[in-house]
Amino acid sequence: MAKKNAKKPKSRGGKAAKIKNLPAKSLSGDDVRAVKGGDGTYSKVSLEYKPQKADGTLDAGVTSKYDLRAQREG
Amino acid sequence: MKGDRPAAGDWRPPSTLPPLYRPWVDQLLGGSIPAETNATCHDCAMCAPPDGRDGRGPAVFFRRETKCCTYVPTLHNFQIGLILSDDDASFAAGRATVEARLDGRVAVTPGGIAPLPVQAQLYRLGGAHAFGRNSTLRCPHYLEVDGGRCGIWRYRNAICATWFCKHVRGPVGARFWQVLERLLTTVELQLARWCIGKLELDQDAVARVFASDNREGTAVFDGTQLDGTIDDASYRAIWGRWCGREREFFRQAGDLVRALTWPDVLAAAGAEARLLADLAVHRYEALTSDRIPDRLTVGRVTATPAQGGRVHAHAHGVAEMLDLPGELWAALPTFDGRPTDAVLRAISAHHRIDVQPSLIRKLVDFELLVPAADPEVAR
Repeated sequence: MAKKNAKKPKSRGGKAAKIKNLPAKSLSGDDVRAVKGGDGTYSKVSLEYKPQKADGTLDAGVTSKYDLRAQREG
Repeated sequence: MKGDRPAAGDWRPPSTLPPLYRPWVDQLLGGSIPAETNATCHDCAMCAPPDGRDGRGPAVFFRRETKCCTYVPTLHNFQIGLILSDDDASFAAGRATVEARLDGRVAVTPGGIAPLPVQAQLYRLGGAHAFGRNSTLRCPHYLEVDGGRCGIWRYRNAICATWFCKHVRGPVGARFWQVLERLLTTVELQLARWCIGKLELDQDAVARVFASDNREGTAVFDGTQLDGTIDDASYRAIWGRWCGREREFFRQAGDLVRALTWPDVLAAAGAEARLLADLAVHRYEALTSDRIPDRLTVGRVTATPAQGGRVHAHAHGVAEMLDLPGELWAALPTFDGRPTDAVLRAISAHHRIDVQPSLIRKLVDFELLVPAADPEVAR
């Protein structure tokens, strides 16, 4: 699996302290939009999320393909 | 709407379903279906914008001259009858496309009009590679006006009426529409056969109608069918006493079905339709629920960087991709299975983001967040 540019999103870490005093930003469903076109039916993505397991290690990342027609046929 | 007959007069775009089906489905569900506003046929959401602004990354786009209309629909006898009986002048161009298929006589049976054998095979061979991107497969009812539109929109079949490239609620909507498609497709086929019985087609012709059923795509075609022509003797045999009066047959079928209420439809369509109707109600309840799970964790998500520090992300097996603010992406791992209220407080404290319920709902709908087990219950 290609790991180019792969990184895990940062969460509760050191950056939090730096932005602690900034006013909170409100995000609603309207701030997340559907992307034009379909997803990468034939391409792999270059950045993946790896879930963290209970023991602190990273679980396997996932790369998916999707067949547009499969959506239609369920 | 309960018990209403189809009333074209009160139907207006963007009402989702054809006017024949809307009162039936309203009665089944006990409410209206939320509009799929992200599937913008007039400005196709699957076509790359002219400036190419969003045309980067892994997205796959349809061609503007086809959109998703790379599919030749089956039209059942009663649908054809309704089309032929609609003398609205503004519908003339669409009606003419159906007349042309009838005049060709190929794959025209008392059951309705099926795709030409060659078209059916090309659709199968092209698969996802050709869908939305091949002019050869373009629908004969597609009109090259107003940027491309459906000529038989008010009478389109169940597949066309329930297919959306995007769903406001992502997989939740897709699952609902998939079962509604299967329900209405079942209803269409059974009603077409019900009409054949009511109109007393000759028994030999009935046998030929069943023999011509090629829904599995496994039929062997003869030379004339592959050439897109018709063998006159076969055509006469399949129409029996109605041969030469095909349009009258279709009009009568339309009149029969137009008069049906939803209970009538279920009675005619049989056990499979009743099962699917119950399933559609179940999926509709999910579609109209805003409940947020008590505990959430991150799903199986893949993503790619986008412009302006944003991220395009989608869950495994979900076609629709979301465009997220980068800071939201960074905060997602905070959803680690703790109670959702506690996670929201942590995100507010550590990421300075107040996540609104509508945003959580969307992330759950698109499966970027998934329900997590309560550890107390799990023990």
